[in-house]
Amino acid sequence: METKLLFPSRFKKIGWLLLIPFTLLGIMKLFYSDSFEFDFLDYDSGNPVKGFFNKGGDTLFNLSSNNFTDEIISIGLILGLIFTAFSKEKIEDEWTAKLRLDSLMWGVYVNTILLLLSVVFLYGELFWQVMILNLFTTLIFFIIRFNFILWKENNTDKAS
Amino acid sequence: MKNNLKIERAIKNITQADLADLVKVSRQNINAVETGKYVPSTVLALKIAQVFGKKVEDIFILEETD
Repeated sequence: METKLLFPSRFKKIGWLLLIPFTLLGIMKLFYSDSFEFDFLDYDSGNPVKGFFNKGGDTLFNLSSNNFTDEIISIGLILGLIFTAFSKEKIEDEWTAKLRLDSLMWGVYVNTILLLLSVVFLYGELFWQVMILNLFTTLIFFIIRFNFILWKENNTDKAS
Repeated sequence: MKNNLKIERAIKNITQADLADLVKVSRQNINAVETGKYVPSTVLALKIAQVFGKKVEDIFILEETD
């Protein structure tokens, strides 16, 4: 069974190597917010330029100053998640394809239920923090569920 | 759907991993089929039957609830 739209299996290792450090950085950034920034990612154009798309808020083309720590962390995290989630297994077959689809649905369900709960129970600053988390949690739940079942099935009945 | 996979394997004296190699799927796949958690595709069922030199119906049996 040919599964298209998946990365080669070596990308899974690359995914984990990105995912673990960037998850830790992401947690630090979420907890310490503005105080957790790397100075070498500072950008300052010197003068507040009239940008190409200057219709108010900062965009890439009219930025006068920014620290890119959060952008770098987000990009690293997203790439890590995508590679970890959508790489081929060493042995790719119809069962892993089904498990992947089931887990994706499970992940979306869990994420949506938590989203619903946070809409009802969380307000103000905390709500926005959970919304930031929510950008990544669908894939995180998917990865946890998919790899847990793979691991569990690998450990049952190994002797037989 | 029931299956005789475990018995057939015992007769032929091969492990789940051996069978998985023969039909080119993961060992987890064979385990999931054997424990009734996963219904294999027609192609996989035919391949498994081929390994044991039997008909698909001899290995996979429909139940009333199916």
